[in-house]
Amino acid sequence: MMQGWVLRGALALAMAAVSATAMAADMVNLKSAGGASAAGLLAAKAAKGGARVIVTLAAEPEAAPKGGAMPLEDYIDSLQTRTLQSLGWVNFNDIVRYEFSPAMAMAVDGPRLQQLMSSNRVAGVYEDRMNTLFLADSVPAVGGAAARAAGIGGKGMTVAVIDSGVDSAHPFLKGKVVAEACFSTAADKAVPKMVATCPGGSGREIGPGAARPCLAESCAHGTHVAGIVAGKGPDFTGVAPEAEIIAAQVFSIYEDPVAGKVLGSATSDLLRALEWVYSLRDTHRIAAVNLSLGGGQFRHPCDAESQPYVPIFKLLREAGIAVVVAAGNESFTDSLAAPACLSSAISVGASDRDDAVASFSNSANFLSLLAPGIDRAAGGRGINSSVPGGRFERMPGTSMAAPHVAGAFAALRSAMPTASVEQMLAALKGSGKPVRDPRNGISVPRIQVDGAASRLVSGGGHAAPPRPAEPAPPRPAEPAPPPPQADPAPVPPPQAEPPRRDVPRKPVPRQRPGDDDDGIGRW
Amino acid sequence: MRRILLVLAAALLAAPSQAGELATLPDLKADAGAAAAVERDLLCHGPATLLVKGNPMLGGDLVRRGASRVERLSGAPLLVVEAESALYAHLRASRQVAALHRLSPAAPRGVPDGLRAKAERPGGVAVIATLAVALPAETDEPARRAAIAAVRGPLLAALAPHAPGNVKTFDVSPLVAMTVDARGLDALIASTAVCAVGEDAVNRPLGLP
Repeated sequence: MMQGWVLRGALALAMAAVSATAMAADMVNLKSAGGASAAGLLAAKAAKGGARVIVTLAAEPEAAPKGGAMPLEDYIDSLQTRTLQSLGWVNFNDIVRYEFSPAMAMAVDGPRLQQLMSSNRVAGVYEDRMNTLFLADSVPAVGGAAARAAGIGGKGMTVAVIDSGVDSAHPFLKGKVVAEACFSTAADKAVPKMVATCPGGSGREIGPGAARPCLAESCAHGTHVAGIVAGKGPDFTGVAPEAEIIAAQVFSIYEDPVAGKVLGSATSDLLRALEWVYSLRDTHRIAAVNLSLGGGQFRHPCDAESQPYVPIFKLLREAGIAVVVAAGNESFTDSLAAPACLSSAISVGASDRDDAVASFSNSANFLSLLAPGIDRAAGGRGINSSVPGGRFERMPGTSMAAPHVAGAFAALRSAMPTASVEQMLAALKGSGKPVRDPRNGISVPRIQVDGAASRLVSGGGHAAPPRPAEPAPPRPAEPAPPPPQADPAPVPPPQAEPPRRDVPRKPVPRQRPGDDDDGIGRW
Repeated sequence: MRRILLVLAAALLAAPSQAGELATLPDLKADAGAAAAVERDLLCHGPATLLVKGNPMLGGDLVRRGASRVERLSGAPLLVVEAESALYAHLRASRQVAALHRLSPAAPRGVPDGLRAKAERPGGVAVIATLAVALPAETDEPARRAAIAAVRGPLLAALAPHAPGNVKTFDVSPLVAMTVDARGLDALIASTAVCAVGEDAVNRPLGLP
């Protein structure tokens, strides 16, 4: 007969187990077959002086009293006590005992870790990693918070996110999406078959709701990217939290006979979106276009091989719009993906919070900039940003590095509305922290937004003369960036806010690069 | 290269036995097909070296019209001219020019490896074609749009028998995208309205799982 405590306890225990599992969903159980290498690493750490672990406990019906109901917390307390007794750790103080989860957290040395690993009362051992809101760290790390505190947060500026769509209802992005479009392709007879993902089912839609996130795996990508550019929340923000977003959804579902359903963007759809963004240049103050997508491998600037991109990239740049592109995640040390490889693209590789180049990040001597794209300290996980449904998730990749730079352009443009792309890029390169990639010896500046703003407004946004190259066997390295500003000059607040748009929108008088050279350093 | 072309032109003229070779070069004033191919190359790849037979006094006018190089071959009513597309059009129309030949070699018309094999599959292949258009300045967007449309329209009409699918047009980029079968691909490559044809490549999101 099923007794009362079993009914309540089993249900609650199941819930608690789910909770404990969820808590550790992205963690490796060191007792599992797949956890051997991680166990070795943790054992080494424990042997050196200690490691923090979370221990989940095996269910034990005998831990419960015979007959009668039993509160869940009592049952879990019983489990914890019996486990500690079996280990002989009754007087072990530094233990966190959870009330409603069959788990404990503790610091262990080598022998104690071995005891946990061999105990049959222990279901799982997980490293107790430090989880942080990395966007909350990465934005201050690149000087975004300091720039914002100085009033440089992208106000009046817009960034176009050409990606898998943006959840405009997400609280982090609420009120930010000012224009939407979708360009996708349906091709029933093609191999692989392509399925259009625009909300209305057609291949070209423009208007509110058109850039709703597509409905497939990876469709959270665009919302995540947009959050890094311009997200604004109570605890943390994107790089340019006052900026607005133009969202274009350009992905289709490719039904590959081998790979299955995968998300991809036809270059032609991407080009249609770029043309659409260009057509908006007189109704929005567009500081940058972000492209966290690409493919292929190019060892040199690829204007000849990727010729279709050349005209629109040139038009956008001449319109004062920076085209920021993720470098790719294939660990190439001498090449970039397309379209990052184009000479007119601002290519972005990924670094971590310790200013080390991410191992997956593509690199080459024509890579433009680095920005955060991973949090190695949080176990190699990614940037925490918005995903559809009002949630937040971590994603790593050069996809996440690029929007840090796109947001930086919005912030810089808000500090100096007349600045050209070349001036802002020179300021970002000149003020960035040089980060040397040990794989190829190439140094690339990691952006520092406050330093770049300071440099820009003080007239230092002109392209720097070439510097001697660093040794970069087997290829010569690109010129090393100038050393970082150890103590950037205080960033003055913008003299005048760029005019806000009224609704309905009216064309914004544009000032093209070079129209007003007096604008440099006139604070 | 220029020196070689000059020497070649001089040799053709100096040696009566080789004069016949000059005749084998198509006269671009008379051969419309060859003339269109040269025009495409000029639009797609920039200036070419031309041999102009006609009034030797034409040289000064060509310099004023922007020719980057004009050299008169002594003893003959011949000029070697470096010309871009507008000057080429002028030369073709000029009554002062009796014959016109291209000296520099034709630009190669390469197609990416494997594209034709893909075009032969059921469903064809998605491609992007770069149009041979004389683009006005970036600042003159209406003229740019009109120039692109003027080349694109006849191209699509000519391709209609091959039933291209998923045709995507562009306003300010000299491009047109479509799905074509093998015959459609061949027609596209052969068209004098097209500079280059490449596969409509797939881009992936660059976030890691």
